[in-house]
Amino acid sequence: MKENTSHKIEWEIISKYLSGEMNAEEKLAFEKLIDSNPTYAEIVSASDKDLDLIQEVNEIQQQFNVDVAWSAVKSNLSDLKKANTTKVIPLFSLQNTKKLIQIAAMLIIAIGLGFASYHIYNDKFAPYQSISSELNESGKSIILADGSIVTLNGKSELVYERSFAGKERRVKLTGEAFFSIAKNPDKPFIISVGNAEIKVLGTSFNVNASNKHVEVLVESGKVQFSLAKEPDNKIILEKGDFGVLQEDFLEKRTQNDENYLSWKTQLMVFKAMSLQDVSKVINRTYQVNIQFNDTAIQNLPITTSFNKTPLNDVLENLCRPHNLTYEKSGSQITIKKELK
Amino acid sequence: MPEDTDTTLKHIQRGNLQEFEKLFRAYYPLLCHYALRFVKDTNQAEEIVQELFCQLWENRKNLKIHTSLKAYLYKATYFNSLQVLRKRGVKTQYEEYIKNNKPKSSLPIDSVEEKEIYNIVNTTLANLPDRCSKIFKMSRFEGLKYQEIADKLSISVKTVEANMGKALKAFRKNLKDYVGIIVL
Repeated sequence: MKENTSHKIEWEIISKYLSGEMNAEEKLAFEKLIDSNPTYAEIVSASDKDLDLIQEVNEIQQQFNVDVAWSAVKSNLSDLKKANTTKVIPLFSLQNTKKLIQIAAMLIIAIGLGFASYHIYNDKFAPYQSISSELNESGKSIILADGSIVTLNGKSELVYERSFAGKERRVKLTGEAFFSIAKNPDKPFIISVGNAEIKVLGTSFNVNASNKHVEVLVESGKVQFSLAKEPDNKIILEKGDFGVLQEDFLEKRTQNDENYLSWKTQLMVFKAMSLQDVSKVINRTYQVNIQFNDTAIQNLPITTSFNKTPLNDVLENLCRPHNLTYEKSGSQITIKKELK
Repeated sequence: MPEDTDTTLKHIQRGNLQEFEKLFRAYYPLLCHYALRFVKDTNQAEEIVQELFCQLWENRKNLKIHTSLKAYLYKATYFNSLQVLRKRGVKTQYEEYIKNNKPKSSLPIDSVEEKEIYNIVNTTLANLPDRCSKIFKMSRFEGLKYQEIADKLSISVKTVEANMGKALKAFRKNLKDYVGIIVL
């Protein structure tokens, strides 16, 4: 591409200007430059239009979800025999999920990374696909062929059938995920996770697991939670129920942790919680690792809440009142006592 | 680039579901947006377009298109939308549209509804390096400040600036034939 000869086009500056990232002084200087150079001014205004257009395209896409629509249309075509491939495309946002899919169940599953990675690809997944997320990629979502939506937490993987052609809809999870499952009474939705199997019976629920340990939290509806190798060893969970599988032992418990879903909601509530416990919630929510240089500060009581707050603001807010500082290097954070 | 109506249509008539899906994906959001202008209800707009595609598939063997596939889809969306308005009993609205829109083509006037621009935006975004498109989306679609993006991704504000500039340049390059008249 030819650059404008008299003036090198500085896209970073233009972008900074159009994104409203300039301070008053910079803005003034930039506008002066535009005024004195009509070619430059035209480029800036064309780019401004580009951005409007891009915005509009994005809005249309958000408004009309083509993946959901396609599964609806496909299921209505009379001669479906040839329909054996459905593309699944990761979404950026789930805000506008259409009413076209009836959500039967929502759940979160998490599982210890240590024991989950063997036998991901067995025969049941012959025409499989998979999606995985890196440590810092929590919130990655896909829509499956049936319209079900899965949101992965960081460092997770989902293996799924491309077209759910069989009698069941089967997926296999490593890590943690939130499921919104499309209603289909004729085809149960089954999630294999570690040594557990979770079968959606027409409800909404939430599953979580860590080392040798699988947890399911039901938000609404009914879920069958069982051992994969002994389907008869099962419990039925209903709204508000919390099921735990430890080794081969299944039981119903209660879950009172308000921050259980923080990784997905980005909402954290702390009521007189020790700084150490608070940091565990933050670690999970922001996929970081917080350490302390002084054990005395770990027990400081914290009462506050955060709603979709950037990590730095969270840390700032925690440290300032207690005269603490923090150091951040990648995902490693050290909270320190301020030195006088 | 204009698609080859004949080839696409032939494939669909032979029952090629993949081609049909391609067509659907290329046009669905745009046609919905177009229908929305008439029926003013997103669910109804989606219903109209989904129904249209279902019918297109059912009747594919007997389908004869004399114009382009694109013109056909927009025209059909237009007429089906008016049908819905008529059923709704919005007589005045319906008659108004008939009066004003009939003589000319019923193709959209909105630039974004043009498939070319829509496609350019999507392919440009898809072809940016991963991190660049992520940064761009966080800034433009999620409305985050540069500093917030830098924090979230553990990178410097300078890197955010550089990537935003890169994205903006790529869009300008690809959209220059359609928006504005600047030659770079």
